[in-house]
Amino acid sequence: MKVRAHMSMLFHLDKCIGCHTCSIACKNLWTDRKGAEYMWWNNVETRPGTGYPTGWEDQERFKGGWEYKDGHLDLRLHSRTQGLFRLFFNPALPSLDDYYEPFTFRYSDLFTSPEGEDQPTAIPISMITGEPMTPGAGPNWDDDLSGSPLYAANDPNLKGLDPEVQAQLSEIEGVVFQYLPRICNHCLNPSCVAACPSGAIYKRAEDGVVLVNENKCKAWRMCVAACPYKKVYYNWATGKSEKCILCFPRLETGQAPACAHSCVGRIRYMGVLLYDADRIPEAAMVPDERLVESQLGIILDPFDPEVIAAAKAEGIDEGWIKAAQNSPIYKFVKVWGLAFPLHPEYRTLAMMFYVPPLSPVVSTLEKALRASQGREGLVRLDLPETDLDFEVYESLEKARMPVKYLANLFSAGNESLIVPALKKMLAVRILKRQESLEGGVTEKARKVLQDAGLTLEEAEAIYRLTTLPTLEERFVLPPYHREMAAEVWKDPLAHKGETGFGYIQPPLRGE
Amino acid sequence: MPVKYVVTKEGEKVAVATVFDLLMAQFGVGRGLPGDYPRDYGDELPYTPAWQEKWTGIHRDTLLKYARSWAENGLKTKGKNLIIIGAGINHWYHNNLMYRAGIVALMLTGSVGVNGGGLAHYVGQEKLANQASWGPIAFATDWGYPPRQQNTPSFHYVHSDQWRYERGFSAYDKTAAGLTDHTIDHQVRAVRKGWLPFFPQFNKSPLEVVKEAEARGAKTEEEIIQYVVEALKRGELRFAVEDPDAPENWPRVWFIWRGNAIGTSAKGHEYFLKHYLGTHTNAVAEERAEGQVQEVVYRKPAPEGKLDLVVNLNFRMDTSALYSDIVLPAATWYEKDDINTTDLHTFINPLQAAVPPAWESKPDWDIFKAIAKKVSELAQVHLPNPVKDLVMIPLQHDTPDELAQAEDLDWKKGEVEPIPGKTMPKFRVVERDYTKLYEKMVTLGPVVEKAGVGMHGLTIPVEDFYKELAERQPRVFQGEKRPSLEEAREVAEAILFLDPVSNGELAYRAFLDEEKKTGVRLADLAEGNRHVRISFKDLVAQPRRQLTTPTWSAIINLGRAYSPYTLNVERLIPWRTLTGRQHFYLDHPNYLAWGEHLPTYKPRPEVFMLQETEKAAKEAQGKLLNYITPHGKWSIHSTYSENHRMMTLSRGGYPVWLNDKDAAELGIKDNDWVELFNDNGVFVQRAIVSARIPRGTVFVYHATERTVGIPKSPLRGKRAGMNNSITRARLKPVLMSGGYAQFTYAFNYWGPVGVNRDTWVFVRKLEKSPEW
Repeated sequence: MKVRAHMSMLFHLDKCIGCHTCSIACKNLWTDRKGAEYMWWNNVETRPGTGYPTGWEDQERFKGGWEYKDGHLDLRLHSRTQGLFRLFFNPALPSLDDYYEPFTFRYSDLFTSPEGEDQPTAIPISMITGEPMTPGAGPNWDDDLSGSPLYAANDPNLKGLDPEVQAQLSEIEGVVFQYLPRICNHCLNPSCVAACPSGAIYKRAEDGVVLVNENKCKAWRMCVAACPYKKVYYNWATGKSEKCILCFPRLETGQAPACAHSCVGRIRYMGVLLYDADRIPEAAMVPDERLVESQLGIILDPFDPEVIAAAKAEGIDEGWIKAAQNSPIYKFVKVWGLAFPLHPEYRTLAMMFYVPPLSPVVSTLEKALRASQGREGLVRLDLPETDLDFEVYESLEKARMPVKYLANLFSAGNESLIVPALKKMLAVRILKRQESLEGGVTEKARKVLQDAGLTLEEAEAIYRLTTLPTLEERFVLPPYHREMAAEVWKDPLAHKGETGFGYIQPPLRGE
Repeated sequence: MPVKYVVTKEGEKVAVATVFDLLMAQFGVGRGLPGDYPRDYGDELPYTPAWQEKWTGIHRDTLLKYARSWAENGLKTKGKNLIIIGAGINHWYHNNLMYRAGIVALMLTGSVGVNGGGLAHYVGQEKLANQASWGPIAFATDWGYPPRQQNTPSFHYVHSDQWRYERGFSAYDKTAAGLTDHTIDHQVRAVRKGWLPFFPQFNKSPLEVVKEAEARGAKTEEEIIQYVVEALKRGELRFAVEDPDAPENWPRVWFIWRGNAIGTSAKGHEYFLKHYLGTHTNAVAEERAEGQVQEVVYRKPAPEGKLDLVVNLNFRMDTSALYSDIVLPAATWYEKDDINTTDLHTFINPLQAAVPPAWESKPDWDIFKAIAKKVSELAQVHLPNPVKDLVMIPLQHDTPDELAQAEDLDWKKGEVEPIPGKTMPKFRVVERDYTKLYEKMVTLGPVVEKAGVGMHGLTIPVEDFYKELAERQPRVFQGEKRPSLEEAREVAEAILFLDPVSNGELAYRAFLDEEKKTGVRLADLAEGNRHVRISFKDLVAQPRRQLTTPTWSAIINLGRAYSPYTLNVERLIPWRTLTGRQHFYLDHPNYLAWGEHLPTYKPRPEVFMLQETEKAAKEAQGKLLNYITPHGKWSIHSTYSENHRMMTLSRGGYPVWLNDKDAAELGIKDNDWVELFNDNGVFVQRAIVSARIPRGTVFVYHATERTVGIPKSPLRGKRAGMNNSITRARLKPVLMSGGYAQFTYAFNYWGPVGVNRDTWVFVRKLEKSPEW
């Protein structure tokens, strides 16, 4: 057992309002410069939808992630030999047009326009060429089901859904959408790291953050293609790759990443997970439907004395072990089984997790009892006479967001993992609603909890951490020992005094 | 319906019923009584679940389940039925009926004045929590002048000449009394009866009016007012609203501050451009009011370009700034001292200068000071002596004015004598010394010291605090030491120090006043916080929570959330209505005339009634769609919408959202350029095709600008417009009612809403790429 610590983030999708504040925070901080205009290290997608870059989940086309065939794990992108042959030309590499051509507006038109009969306006121009252009793509082009016949209807996660169910998703009475905020998943088995011919990408041992060493980067861009989530980006001005750094300068000073901290809906949680690095390869080499189970299997119990001893032996200090014990991520992922990685079938072992969203019951359109005013039918909710609150729990198949869809996103199609999670969340809701209505814990609520596999204490704990967490309960950040990291390569006192001073040398293209 | 008969002292036999019985009869709830009631829920008569199906499209079973859940929930939770509502309903013609429907459901389940229940009104940041202290500063009542306040919808409906383009409300609203006159007739009558304010007041300068009165021998204020009343009665002096298109009655100088008044706040933007600015416009509508109006002079042709000067205080080049004559660059929120409160949160937040104002921009307070200073300087030449001004104000809410009119009588028609403050507006003669304008602006005046601060009918003495403030931030004016308002920070401190929400001793005094009014013990609510004084420095360290005060309506002590009317319900403070209770029944004569005395349903105005698409129909190929402008996701109204980030996230424009099937029928694909048009104007942007848009509607999220990425309209050949280019404002006259009980004017409280949602447009795809 080789215990390592990992900084992980959790997204509670039942709370996400799709405001994109996270995207703006990251953009303003990290990618507001030449060459990075099109990059959104944090982006928010509407689902159903095709995301950013459009259709990134189509690995037949983009060749990201790993394949498990004949007992071994290979990069889908290429073998080593193929990689050598394709070093200077990689057909799977996305171009700027797969993301979008960034645009701005010629605001000076408002001041510089000559006297005339009509009002001036600031015309849209390309940020790359400076030429006038009509925007045709963007980082959230299908936001809130924009262009749904083109994008949402072609969401690959709709595959395998009943045609009737798929059709319902594009009728206004059955329409549903959720948001999917994404950052780099700082995977345990990163294909970006594996694909880099220069070895310029690395994963930090102390916390699992995956970073690009821009001095080593030679612009091969295999990482861009190899990442199945398309979360490594190429800076067209500097000729280097860039990606989400999990705001490590913030983490190292006890602050949550900017995206997490700025989140309006308070959907994000940060915490430490201890994992067994020795078992990474085997965890990725199981059939699809067992991937979630196997990945969760290598996440270790921070209360287990054996684990603690092994952790200390690896140099993980007490503060980190304590943080792991208090980790909200550990609770949601391991203790309660409410959270999942995104697309585990890519086999990179993503270490950012999602709690899937609940959704209301489907309404149906009845034939009008009497055609009047050109209405196509009356809207009807198929609900029982009594116990309305229990309806979704009893009839999860009637939920607007099909369980299969969520399974395709979060559990490699395995619905049997998603259903218990949704039932637990619904059980907590029912418990609280019954308390509000009836003044206490009712028999009906107890039965639902039992059916969902929750004790009253667990339900209360889930409620508290979901609905009423304080900042410190959401972001349980470990004490980074900067002095220990620094002394590996430099005298820490000298480091303290000299950091920020010296010669600035931008990386030279081609070097 | 259960009715009792009683004989009055005068020997008259009158029928008496309870409001509840009236309400049940109105709703068609039989309760086993004889009469023309629906037999059961399936009987398609108003207002059964079966009946409503054709209006809402919701199956009766679903509605019944919902209603029963609502009732059960209200019962079991003791009133935690909550309606969260924004301003959207406001913009529909029958907005008042919609709100009342919701409120009735809350009232009947005891949900008003309950935490977790009631009507939670989420609208912008318009609540000034410290209104009691802010009012005297904003409106100069600290120096004793009654302010001229104007309800905007009336102002623009009249002055931008939008009234001329419609036949009036009777085209789309059937009233019980069968009224057929024009909306503007009701507006004029509302002004002369003292129901609503109007500016300009008369067809000559009020300074001239006083001079005339004095020339004819009037000496005292009463005599001057008497002169004015007689002149009005004889018709020698006219209200400006009676002849708004006469040049002497046009507004001339417009200061736009903290609003996009020519842009997205201009319902009927194209009419603003035509009649206010006299510039290019895309409106093609024909005038329709000729021969339909009784109370106004119909001048031909309609005047264009009424304004002489538009000055805009702004920190960005929005549409208003683009069309203004002079732009005074203003500091942003992070470049100046200020305080901020909002409807939704009970905290007072500070604004501070993180950096000094960039380039030439200045904080708002400094800009107004500079203007006041210059005016004072120029006054020494042009208005060196004090002048007398005649100020006309409507009958006011929370004053004895509420008792003024038991009947709706018109002095102009001879139905009653014109009596100021009773059957007509109130008048006051105010002496103004323009050479002292600046000094008075930056000094907190004596009225606050002597008469205290107040709102909602309460008066709070503050003499001791006034004096203390004068010591802390002194300014000597006319030999007296008074509190200085020179710096924005000082204004903020004054507002905080002299208001019950931020001064615990004043909250206590406010409750004492409320005790006197109500005879109910209340001051205990403020006991624990008497020592609290929130200063600007405190807010800088941490935004602080407001205090419980009767100037608002909730008990929020000890971390309790704000829910309106918890004070009224729990501590028996009456509502400020005729009966002291919430009203199902509104007995103002106008409401009876409109048939809206009880909650009722009225169908929306239909497109053929609105006559906004006559000309457009000849140019159009496609279908008419209902134009809806929901709240934007990528902006705060129009602010921030045009910056790079928000533009990037909103497809680089202000997209036009269409239902996918409607789009297919119109041959429109996702991201195609489309043109929205009716007789009011045009809007050209790229389309978003989506299954989540209801059929028959087209959405453009408010608010847009014309400054960014707006091409030329192929239809009109000029720059296409903005979200309010295809709307116009209509007023519902019943909401002009005044002079009686709670139906009286107060600032930011009363008047008809600028309705612009019952709008229809044609949508078509552009044949080729647009011109710029």
